[in-house]
Amino acid sequence: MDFVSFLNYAIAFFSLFVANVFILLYLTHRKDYLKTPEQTDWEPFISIVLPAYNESIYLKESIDTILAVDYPRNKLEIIIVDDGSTDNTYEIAKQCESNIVHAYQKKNGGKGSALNFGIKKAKGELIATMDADSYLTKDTIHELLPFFTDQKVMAVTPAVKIKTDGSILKELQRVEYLMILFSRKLLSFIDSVPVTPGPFSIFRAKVFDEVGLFDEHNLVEDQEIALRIQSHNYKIKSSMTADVFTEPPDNLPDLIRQRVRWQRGGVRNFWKYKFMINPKYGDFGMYFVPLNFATLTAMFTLFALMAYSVITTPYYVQYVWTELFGMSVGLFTFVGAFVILSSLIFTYLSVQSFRTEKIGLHYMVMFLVFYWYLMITYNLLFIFKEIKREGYSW
Amino acid sequence: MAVRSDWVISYVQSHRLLVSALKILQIHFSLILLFQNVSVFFNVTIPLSYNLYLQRDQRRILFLVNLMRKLSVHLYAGAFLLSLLIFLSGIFVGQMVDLSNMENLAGEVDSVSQKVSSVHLLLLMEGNSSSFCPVYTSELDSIDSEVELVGHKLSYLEDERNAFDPELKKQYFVLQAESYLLSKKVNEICGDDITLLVHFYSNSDCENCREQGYEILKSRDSSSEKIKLYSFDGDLGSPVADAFKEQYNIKSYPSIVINEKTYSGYKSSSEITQIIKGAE
Repeated sequence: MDFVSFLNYAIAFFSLFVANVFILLYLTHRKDYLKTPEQTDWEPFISIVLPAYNESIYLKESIDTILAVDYPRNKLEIIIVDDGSTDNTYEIAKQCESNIVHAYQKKNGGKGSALNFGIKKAKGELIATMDADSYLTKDTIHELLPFFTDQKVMAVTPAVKIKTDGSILKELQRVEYLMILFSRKLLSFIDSVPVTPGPFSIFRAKVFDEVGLFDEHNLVEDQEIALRIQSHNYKIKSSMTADVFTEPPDNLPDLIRQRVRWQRGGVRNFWKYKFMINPKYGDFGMYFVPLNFATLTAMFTLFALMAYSVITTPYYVQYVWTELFGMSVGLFTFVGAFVILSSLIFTYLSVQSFRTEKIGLHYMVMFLVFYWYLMITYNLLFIFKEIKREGYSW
Repeated sequence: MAVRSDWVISYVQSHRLLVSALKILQIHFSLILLFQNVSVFFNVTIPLSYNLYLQRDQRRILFLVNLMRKLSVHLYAGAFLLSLLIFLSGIFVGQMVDLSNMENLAGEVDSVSQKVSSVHLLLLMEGNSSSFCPVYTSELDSIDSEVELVGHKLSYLEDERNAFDPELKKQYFVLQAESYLLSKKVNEICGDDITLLVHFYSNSDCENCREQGYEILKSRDSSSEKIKLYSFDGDLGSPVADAFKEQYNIKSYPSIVINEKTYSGYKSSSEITQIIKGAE
């Protein structure tokens, strides 16, 4: 067997393996992945840190949703940190000030610095970080608290979803967010949650004393802090019922820009934490961290193999290409069909888990067909940007 | 052998495929269920401190007992085994499909053989009469395009799918030889000017034979003349190919015979076009 065929087989087997890990995780936990631990009557003081930069459109509504959350007023404080906005974000924040809402302004320094500024001012036992374009629901906090009963849990992630307006791009992103949420829940069963999402995450205040504050020079600081928490062998849990809604990019260029940023930041973060590939970091260190590197390698190898097969297509193929479809069914089609079918089922399951979420099957199929090309785009772009050593920007 | 219709063949093949696919799925699902039961057993023995439904005291005790971070080896082993199973099923399906493709090709070879026999019969009956020339020409054209398609499919199966049947290939050479000889005869009788190009190659002893094949195709595609192509693997042990090798004095590969003249060595498509024009 020549080298190219071997690579093809290796990549096919690898994708099959990863798919099967998720499938088995689902099968072993299919009875309890939707459950929240028992509610207790624990009501700690919660500080919500809200960094904002030119968010005058969304800020007021965001604050209103926090104020509408079902939680005692005397156990809540909201700390808005305006990171040197150039619009009237600070004015709006100042207008909302009350005995539980405090507004501060600082010189522009990036999201990480705004978060840290707010955290230093926070006095709660739990500290939540959120984005100014996220909306909470009534039960968000109550659905997250029970996960803290386990003392090893230092952070809990909510069910980040998006509200759609019918546009195709948003529907596809909605499918994607639900799939990410579903995977994150499954990963939490092997203690491998890799990110505490920016839109809303809740931490024990003491974790910042132990692992440090947010990295102020990081492209994806919400992922970096989660990796840091994992490296101290603390646990991060995931809720499927604490809903938080965020604003996704509504046009393609913005979406690509966002994903390229995630990709660049993500790779950098995992490289920084490559020391975790060690049995003492359990499933996270031995499976999840290497998986990220392996996936990246496999993806680029696959691009190369695809280009190679196009270049070396024999001349006579043009005479038989209509016949080729029937003839080319074999191992790769079979494996490919399995992975695609299981992805479809996986996507379907992740959506159906939420009784409240309904998505047309056509969107799920579209997602599987087109999103792949989007992924290729921002992966290639990410490589170009790295080569150019472009600076960071949000 | 009776000529079966394509429709019947593909129906039978797909039915067989479906049955095998169902068998594979059955095994697949029973293994998943088996694994699930095994993993439930393992879940009990793996530290339960991560189970949030336990009482606080029980959890405290188990937490002290378990300070190493969990490594779900059984999860990865199970996923690996499952992947292996699916992979092997895929290989099995691939083999089955290759087999059915080979059978299809054999059927096509048979049906073209029939056509060739009828043209041959006609020629024998009519002798050197040129009254049936239009019939000969059109029949041979359709035969040649079918034979070429069979050739491409055989190449594809050999190159990309590693499915190789030497006996089928020899049958294919016999078919080509019949078509070639018939075309030569028709050229004589009907006064046609069709260029007949025979390519001799070897799969075991020639580095640029594949290139040569492509160059020939290119030259045929870009030419305004009518050219018919035939190719033989001289090292396959086909009696027909060996006979032609002797007749045209083939000593090395690649070699091309254009209208009865032998040219040895690699020729690019432009060189080939030149020779054909020159041989006019």
